[in-house]
Amino acid sequence: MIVQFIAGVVSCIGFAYLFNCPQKAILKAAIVGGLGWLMYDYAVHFWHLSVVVSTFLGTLVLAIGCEILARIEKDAVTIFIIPAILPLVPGAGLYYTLLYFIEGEFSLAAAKGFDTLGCAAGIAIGIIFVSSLTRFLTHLRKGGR
Amino acid sequence: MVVDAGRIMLESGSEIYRSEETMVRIARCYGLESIDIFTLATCIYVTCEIEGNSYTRIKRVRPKTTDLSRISRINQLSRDLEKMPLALNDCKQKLAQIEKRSRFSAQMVALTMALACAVFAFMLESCTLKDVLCTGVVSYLAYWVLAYLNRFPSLHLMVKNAMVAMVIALGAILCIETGIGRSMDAIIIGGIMLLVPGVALTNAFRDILNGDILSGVIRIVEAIIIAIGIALGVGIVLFFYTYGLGALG
Repeated sequence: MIVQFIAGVVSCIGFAYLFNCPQKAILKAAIVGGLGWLMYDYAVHFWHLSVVVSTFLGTLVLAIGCEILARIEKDAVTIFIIPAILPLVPGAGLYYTLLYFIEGEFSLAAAKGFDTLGCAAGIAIGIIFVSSLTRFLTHLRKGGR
Repeated sequence: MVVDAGRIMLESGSEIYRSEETMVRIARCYGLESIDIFTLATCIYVTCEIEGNSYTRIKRVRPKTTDLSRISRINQLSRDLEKMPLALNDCKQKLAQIEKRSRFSAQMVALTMALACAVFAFMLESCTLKDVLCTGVVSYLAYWVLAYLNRFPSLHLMVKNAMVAMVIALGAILCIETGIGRSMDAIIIGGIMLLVPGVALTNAFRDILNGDILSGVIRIVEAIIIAIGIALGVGIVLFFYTYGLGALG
């Protein structure tokens, strides 16, 4: 498990460099990204959930982490979310869909294709969920006081 | 200048609402109270009223490479302006500085991405240690190709991604054929992580959530185009590899 976490963190660091993330944010985004990946891996291997649901859960975890980081660092959420979320984007799904398609295994290709799209949807719903929650909470705080 | 600030942010990959808020903030700091902004992921439309006259500006936005520090800095600049106003020329200078500010060196990014892709391949099931090494090397080379192609902004997104994907696939095949690598799948998947449209996807959904549905749709299509580009690149190489050149008849 530790290995997966470290792997997630290293991946995110790479992406942070790719997108020219500000120095102060790199390690923090990477740690949150690592946690997100850990959640995904855990959900797939221990809880035996589908890839789609696991991606959703992973996104949920890391989106919450990123929003918290953004409040602490007083910066945009984007600079944290983008490096953190990249390991979860279904690159493998895309590749296998393609592979099966070329080999002529169309039903497998369709199945993998749905998985890939489902993962993208999982990311979408995760982001939307956490974003709405954050906006709602901010609204409450501003309205309450 | 206000529009430029928004443009730079959008080009570097920020969400719509963030660039709009920033533009409004900066405009307010310079006394433009009544300002209306409509932003699409590809264009900014601004209208403001000064002493009873209406002025409109339209600025096209062409996506450049994602640059999170620029977003952060312009955001910070707009917030700082609220507390400590700057002369107009100083502000323009600062914006120009932010735009010119260098990123991490290509070498650094290539190395970290190679590491990231290698680690990612490591996390896949069918991967051996040699594959991890291969992925690192292939990703490293692929990044340089990507960096080179990024210098041609007129190169279509799909074509650019297809070309880099082809390089990755060819690199993977090379590794397999020379016997160093075992799992072509792992190497290609690791390499693909370099290209995967994470930014487009993430920002698409955040934009839709904020009500900028059209921009969200634009970004989703952008992500699909990138994915198809990758698929084409890898697909063409794999097709010929699996079936040989004789397949063409």
